[in-house]
Amino acid sequence: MWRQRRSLLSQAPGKVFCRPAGNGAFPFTIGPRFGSGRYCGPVVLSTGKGVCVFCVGRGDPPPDRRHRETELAQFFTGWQSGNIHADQRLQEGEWSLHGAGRRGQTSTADGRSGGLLFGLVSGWPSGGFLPQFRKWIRHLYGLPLGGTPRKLYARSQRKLYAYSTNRAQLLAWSPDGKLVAFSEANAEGRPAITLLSLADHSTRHLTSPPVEHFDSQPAFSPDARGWLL
Amino acid sequence: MAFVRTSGPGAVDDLFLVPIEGGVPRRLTFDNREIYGPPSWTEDGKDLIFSSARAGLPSLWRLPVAGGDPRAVAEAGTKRLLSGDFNQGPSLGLHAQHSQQKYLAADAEG
Repeated sequence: MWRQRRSLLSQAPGKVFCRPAGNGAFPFTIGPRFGSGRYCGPVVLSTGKGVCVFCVGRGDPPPDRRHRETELAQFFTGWQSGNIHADQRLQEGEWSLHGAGRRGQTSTADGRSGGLLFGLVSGWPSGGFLPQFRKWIRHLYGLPLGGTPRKLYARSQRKLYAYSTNRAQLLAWSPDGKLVAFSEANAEGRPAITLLSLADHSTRHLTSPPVEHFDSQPAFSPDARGWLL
Repeated sequence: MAFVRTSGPGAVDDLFLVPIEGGVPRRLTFDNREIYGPPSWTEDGKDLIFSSARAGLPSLWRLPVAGGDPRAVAEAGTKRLLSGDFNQGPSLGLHAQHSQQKYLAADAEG
């Protein structure tokens, strides 16, 4: 499984850095320079056999992320690197910085085992409703092990929300691999926890935040199962 | 499913729990402190680990979903951490400080 993942990640400029589980002491620091022009996204746990970190980007990073791109030092021994297939889908100004990994023990909706999810973020509006929401995800991609990324979900409107820089992990993948959770504006315009079925790409809002509240940062419990409508 | 509900514009957070089939969310924390990143479940599904500055410096906290007060995960130290996924092996946190990005591990048994 580990070897398989390495082989599928093969095109610049996006990169995933992975570390096999059980290799090295904790706590640890990863680095180094992952490369100029890249932003290293959140921790992505993959198949239960290791840990991956996204480093994807093209062009100038947003100002509040610029500090992160070049000064990561001391590459951690035992980490392997590979490139993300999807770089050709990155547009200027888009950044992949939200990801979720999943274990490989069960099949995903498309019949593959394990994989990664990531979202592409673009746009930097100022002000507006809840200034913390200064960016949004326009596309959500799946990157199955041994396969190529495919677009799972897209919004032309600014409805899929990310959060401020220290709230990196937006996406959550259900333990059975069938659902993805994220924050999306509901009919009232308030970001609500939203579930996406990977089987049919249907969505539903799971929460209804009160006025001047918003919901984000979903995390599936270990026993969360299926598409229960 | 656990999630963070934030109230603006002061942006204070609390943890909530909601069944994935839907329902009224249950509030788990009540102190309106900023929470950094998503919570993580322990493997047995009994506790949530999350990052927050509840006692000064940001650190990891452990909260029983059945009820109770969060308590500090001592091993995590007092650093700004984003808890990782405790379901899948070593637990991780993200420490972003100035120009460095560090990934730290904390023992979920804390």
